[in-house]
Amino acid sequence: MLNAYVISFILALEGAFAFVFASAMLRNYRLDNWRKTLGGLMIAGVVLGLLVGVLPQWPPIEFIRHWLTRGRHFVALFLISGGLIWFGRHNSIISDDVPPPPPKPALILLALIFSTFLFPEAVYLPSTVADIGRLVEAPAGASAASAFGIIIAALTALIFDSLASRFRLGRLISLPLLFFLLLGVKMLGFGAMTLSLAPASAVASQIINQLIHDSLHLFFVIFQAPDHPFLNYSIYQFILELLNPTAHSILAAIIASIPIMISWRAFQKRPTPVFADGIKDSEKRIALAAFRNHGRKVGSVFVIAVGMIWLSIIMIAGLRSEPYDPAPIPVIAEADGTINVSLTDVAALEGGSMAKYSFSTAEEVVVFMLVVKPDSGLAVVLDVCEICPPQGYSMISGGFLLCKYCQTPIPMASVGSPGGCNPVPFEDFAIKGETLSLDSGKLINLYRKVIGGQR
Amino acid sequence: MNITSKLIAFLEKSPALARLGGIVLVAYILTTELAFGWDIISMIISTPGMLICLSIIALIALGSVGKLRRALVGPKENRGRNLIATILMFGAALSLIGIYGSIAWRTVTSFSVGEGQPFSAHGKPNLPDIKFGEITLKTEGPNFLLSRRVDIKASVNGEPSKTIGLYPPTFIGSWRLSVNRFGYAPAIDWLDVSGRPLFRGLAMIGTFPLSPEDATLVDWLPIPNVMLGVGFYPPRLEEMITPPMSDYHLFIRIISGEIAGVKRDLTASDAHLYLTDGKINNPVYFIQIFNGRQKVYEGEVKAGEVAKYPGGSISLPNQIPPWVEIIATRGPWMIMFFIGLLIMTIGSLGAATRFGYIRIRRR
Repeated sequence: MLNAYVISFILALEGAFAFVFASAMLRNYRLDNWRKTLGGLMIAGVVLGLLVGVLPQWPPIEFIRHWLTRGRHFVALFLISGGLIWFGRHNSIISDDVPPPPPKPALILLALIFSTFLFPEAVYLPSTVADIGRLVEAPAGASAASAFGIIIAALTALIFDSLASRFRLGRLISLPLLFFLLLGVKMLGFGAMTLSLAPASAVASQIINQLIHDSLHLFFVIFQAPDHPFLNYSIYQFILELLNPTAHSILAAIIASIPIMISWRAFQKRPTPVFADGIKDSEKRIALAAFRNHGRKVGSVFVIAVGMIWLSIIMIAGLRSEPYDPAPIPVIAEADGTINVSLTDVAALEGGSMAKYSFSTAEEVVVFMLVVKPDSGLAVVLDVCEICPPQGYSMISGGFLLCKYCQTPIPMASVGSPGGCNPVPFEDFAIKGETLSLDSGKLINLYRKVIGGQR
Repeated sequence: MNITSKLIAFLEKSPALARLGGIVLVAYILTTELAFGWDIISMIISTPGMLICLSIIALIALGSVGKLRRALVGPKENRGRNLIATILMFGAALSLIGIYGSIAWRTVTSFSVGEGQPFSAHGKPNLPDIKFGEITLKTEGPNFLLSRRVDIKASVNGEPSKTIGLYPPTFIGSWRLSVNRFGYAPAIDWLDVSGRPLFRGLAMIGTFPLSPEDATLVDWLPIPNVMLGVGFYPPRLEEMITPPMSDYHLFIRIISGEIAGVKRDLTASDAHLYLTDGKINNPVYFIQIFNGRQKVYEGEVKAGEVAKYPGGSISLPNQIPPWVEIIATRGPWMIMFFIGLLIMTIGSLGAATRFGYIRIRRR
């Protein structure tokens, strides 16, 4: 029961912090209507997400879930874009003057971000709460605890909002800084993590990993460089370092910090106050001191934004679990050569999971995988690819398979497609009720063809 | 505003537009990565990727023209800076188009040759006929990048021979040639009972097509896991040869031999450590002969010996000449890339000199 409360509270708290930051900035601009609009849009997004989450399995709904899984990190992309587009636009320095309002497109982008900020996570919340309810045999209690968690988080948001108003936090949050603070919240992704979803920081690391791997491959192709075993040990070790996940995490943090640093630099270059003739020196000194003081305070908020990005990346690197590599479950063929695999256990797996099976003949052991893709589609693939020696795959966080030989992460969504680093797909299978059937002869032939082709 | 002034205004704006294009490219890469999980090559050579990349390159090139105009007709005090910017931007555009062209448009082909083999380049324009010479294997790299040497001599039209190695590629005609992998090609003389050849000639081990069914006839040695990556090293030391229109299969494995004067067990898991020490001499082979799925012969055969069995005979050579697979690429792209790089280096040196000069003058 407590789990349902904590999960919902943390998820809603993520939205609460986002709202507090936005509200503080908008209050500074005296844009109360936009404050209410953004708050309302976030709540509407959550409600809509919960509705989608409780709807039964139906193709259009599954379609939405599929694209949510793939597309939910676009919010982070929007945030970076927003920060970069309006990177030089910072609030007027001090004083009680109302600064010039943010441009309409920025507000519209903020509205889009707030409506989708918690929507994807909200879709996954009902099933998680329902699982907890089943586990404690009190579905109603779990739902109530979940609702209570959301309400408490909303109240927390109101308290923080009022504190932010009292301490005039909005004077320290400029438009680009708001985008970056929201990015920090999304990168930390506590809400996503409580639902066992990958936060934006994990996905950023994986993207860097894949881009570096692809770029290395590209480099070798373009420059006609020879295979790794022909390279000098030190060169090879350097390449290994480039493929080190920790290096990718650091690089992801640096790349995500660059837009913030650009914005910070733009802020530092803001014009110093110009004084009219006749202003006393003491007043000038006071004004300049206030200018510098304000600069330091805003600078500290920039540090917080960068800190959130780095914390998220360090957290993900620290939480990086050992790759999941289950022992294959032995299966045998019926008299007619059919291998039957029960889907009862597999069906319980969530999207983005896999199970391994081994089929032994007198000559070889064929290991194949059943992969439940993020859109809940099933793929049957061999535990080998067309390129590397047959060391197989393990599964890593963030919805990726990992080639155990060349360490390439493969997005689960692309598993089942042929070619490249993808595991070799076996498409000739049928599902009848709770049983998946495949022809052992065709499976062996495919395996031998792949292994033979690698000679 | 007449067309000239519009053009000048556009040239002035080009660098900023190129920067914007860079942001669009990053956004495009992230979008396709998040949405479809594409690899970087697919992203870049897709139509939108190509349009974005080429636009950026064109804008950088136009930007360099704009800077050149400023260097020629702009304020005198900024001429040096604009000239350096022209050089840097032009070099960058040339390098980038070189890289892009190399990914998307270069011609790539490969072929395998043995020692002393003539090569006729049918269908490969501007690649002359080549007479290949000796192959050199050494466990010592020719440059700081490589830990091994796999070279083949190549002579064109009787000119002094060139060496084609693993890296860097060698220019022959308009092609860049490099060794991709190597293997062994024993000269096999396999006769049937009536003395007719079933297979006669150099058998390039590791290149014969093999049906999944035939592959199950024998136990293959495990593929050694040598370092990371997609490997062509170590070369295969065993092969199944099936003559055309025949039920016979010959399985041949080189089990030992002298490499650089030292007797080596080539079935050992660490055999790859000394395969590039030199060529294999006085080898010992393990062979199996099948008629259909029935094994008709199995045994070890020393170099130069003839193995006889009820269905025929087979003789194997004292020496095993290596063969190499050569990758040949064609296109001006790499040259453009390196020229661009050179121009950028000159520009950077110019910028550094100018910076130093200004600092000294200020002092």
